[in-house]
Amino acid sequence: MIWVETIINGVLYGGLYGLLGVGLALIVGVMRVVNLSHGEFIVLSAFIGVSLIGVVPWLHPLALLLPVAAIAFVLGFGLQAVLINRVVTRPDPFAAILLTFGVAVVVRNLMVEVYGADPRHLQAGQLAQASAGIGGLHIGVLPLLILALSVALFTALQLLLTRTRFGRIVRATADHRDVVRLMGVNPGRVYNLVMGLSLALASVAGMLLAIRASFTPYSGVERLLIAFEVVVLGGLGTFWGAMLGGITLGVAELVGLRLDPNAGPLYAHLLFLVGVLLRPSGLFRVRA
Amino acid sequence: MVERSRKLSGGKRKVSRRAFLKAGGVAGLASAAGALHVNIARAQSRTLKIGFIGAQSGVRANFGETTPWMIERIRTAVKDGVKVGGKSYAVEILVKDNQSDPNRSSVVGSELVLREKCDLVVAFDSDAALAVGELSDARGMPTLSTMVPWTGWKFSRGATPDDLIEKSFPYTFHFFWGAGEVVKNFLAMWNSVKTNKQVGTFYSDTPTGRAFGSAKTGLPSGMSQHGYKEVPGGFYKMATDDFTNQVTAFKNGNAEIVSGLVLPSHWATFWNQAAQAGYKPQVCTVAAAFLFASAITSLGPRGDGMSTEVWWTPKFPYKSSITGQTARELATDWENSTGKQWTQPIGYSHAIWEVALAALSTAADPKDKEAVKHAIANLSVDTVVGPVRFKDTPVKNVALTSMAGGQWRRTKNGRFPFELLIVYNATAPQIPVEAELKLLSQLG
Repeated sequence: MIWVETIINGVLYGGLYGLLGVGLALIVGVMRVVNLSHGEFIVLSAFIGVSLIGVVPWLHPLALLLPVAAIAFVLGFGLQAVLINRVVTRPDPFAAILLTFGVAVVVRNLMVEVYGADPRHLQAGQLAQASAGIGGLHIGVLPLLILALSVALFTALQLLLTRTRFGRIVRATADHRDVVRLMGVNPGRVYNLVMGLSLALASVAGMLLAIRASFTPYSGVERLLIAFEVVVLGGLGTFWGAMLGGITLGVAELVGLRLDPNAGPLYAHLLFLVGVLLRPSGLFRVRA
Repeated sequence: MVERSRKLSGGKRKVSRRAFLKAGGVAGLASAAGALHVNIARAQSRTLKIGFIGAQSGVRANFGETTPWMIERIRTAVKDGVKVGGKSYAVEILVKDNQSDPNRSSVVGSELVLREKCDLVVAFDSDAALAVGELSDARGMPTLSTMVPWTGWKFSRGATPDDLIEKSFPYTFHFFWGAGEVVKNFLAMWNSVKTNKQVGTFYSDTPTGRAFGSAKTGLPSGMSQHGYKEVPGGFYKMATDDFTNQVTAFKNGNAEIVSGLVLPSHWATFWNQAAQAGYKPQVCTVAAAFLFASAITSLGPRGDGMSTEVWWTPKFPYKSSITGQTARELATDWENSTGKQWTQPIGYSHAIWEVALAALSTAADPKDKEAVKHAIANLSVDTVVGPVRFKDTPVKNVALTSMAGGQWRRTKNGRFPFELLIVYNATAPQIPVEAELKLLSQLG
């Protein structure tokens, strides 16, 4: 019974991990760029949520998911248009990676400057303690909701990319940046939209993280590590892979902690290492 | 120097490289001479410089919340200077925020010790106490610290369980209680109620958490001596978002008591997840998590009945050696000027100045590091947190202060939603007991 509960909790936790990684997976898939400021934007979204709650304290934080995602979309669009598009077409991928690293440092220190280094949290009221009894097990309603939201977002993203005209353009741009130009597509503009979408997804992860636990301006670094592992474990550029990668990491972490309560995230990191050694192209790589 | 050169080159648009270097060199010489001049002036002046490091932001910001308020009051109290041996000295206080970060502590610590050349450094935070301690001993800087259990302070500075009492340091002194007092208070509180003696524990992976959770000297050894059985939840990392493992372990281990050392933001996550899993312990006595009314208030109705170690409340029967205010008056002063409920660090953030000023004013020469060091070692002062006795102390370099056990209860029509009641006082009998510990099922 205790193992069942541990694994269920791991799956629920992993849903959030997957959401931390999916935005990054999108960027890697489309632009072949690792956005090292992804973690900082996750945390920045949570701070934007805290600021908005300060303006409308009577609103439930979950109601702020859409406004925060919209702000994050604009931020992502601007970041890509103003900065990253300048270097993304260079043959050397390090230029873009170093640029996002710089952005990460700047954003992190701006957050410390503006918000201070104190831990913050978004109050979700009764929902944070609500419990659902299923077959003798008690499962938190909030983690269930977070998993459901993750699955919904993954499905929506998958449909967006496979069933719509926009999705076709994104996939075509990912495959042949130079060829789509001939069809009248501006790859830079596609990248702007994709970065906006990536940060919008990151913002949902950030808000959910802030509701579930607490965060500081420095939390981004650890989240980036998780997001990165999710992407690599799932297989670069696949979305369901990212979801499954997240769940695998979540379960590994909690099962590891059950075996050794002092381990921290050690077992999740070990699993990542083994995964990379055995299946360098990702555990769940499917041909797109 | 770089700054100056930049300004120079900015002023004249077209400067040859040679002229530029010359100008930079002259500016550098000028600034070096300036610094020299200032130092001479300082050495001659009758100003006592006290450097202060505290955590005003970061995870321990709660502990530093009262610091700016208190320093403003201390500055007012010493605005006419202090008299030492018939001579009058002005007092200058330099305040540094270490952001609850060990690396930042080293940076601001060396600023105070090496660059500012203070006469005394005080550290009001665990990281600050450790980082500046090593430097102060190496550089002969008298240093006072508090706000970390003395056991954790000594362990982190190289003491072992065998030389914990005897281990001494040349220039660094500390006053606080030890992890042992917390353990005594926790066990005595649990002994006063009827439980199944199963205790779920988890600790933050920090020096204080490690000292408190140490199998030999911390809570686990005290528990086994009194017949309590531990359901271990381990040491958790600071970046932890999930405590379902601890919840599941405690629930399956049927732990009626939850204990350990947990930071307030982590406890909030744990306590929500406990509710989600339907885990209902009878007693939650956790170090660090329940020191602050703000942490209890943010838990809402589920904050009722949390129990904690108490190192200072307005009910402590002591008064300030600087202002003469009683503990109650000091707390009311804070509540009236900030609108916020009193917090435990108010007492120590005041007492550290009482000890610092007493040390400087009893020194044969307050500008002489050796004299100040001897003054601290022979110090005995009655502060708002109780007596601080470095003279004839049983523990080298440490003055032991008092501690009691308390439980947060909801107030009926009070100014604030919760108040902290003293429920156990055997380690400090002068502090009056106000209530008995109640099980969580007996409340609410």
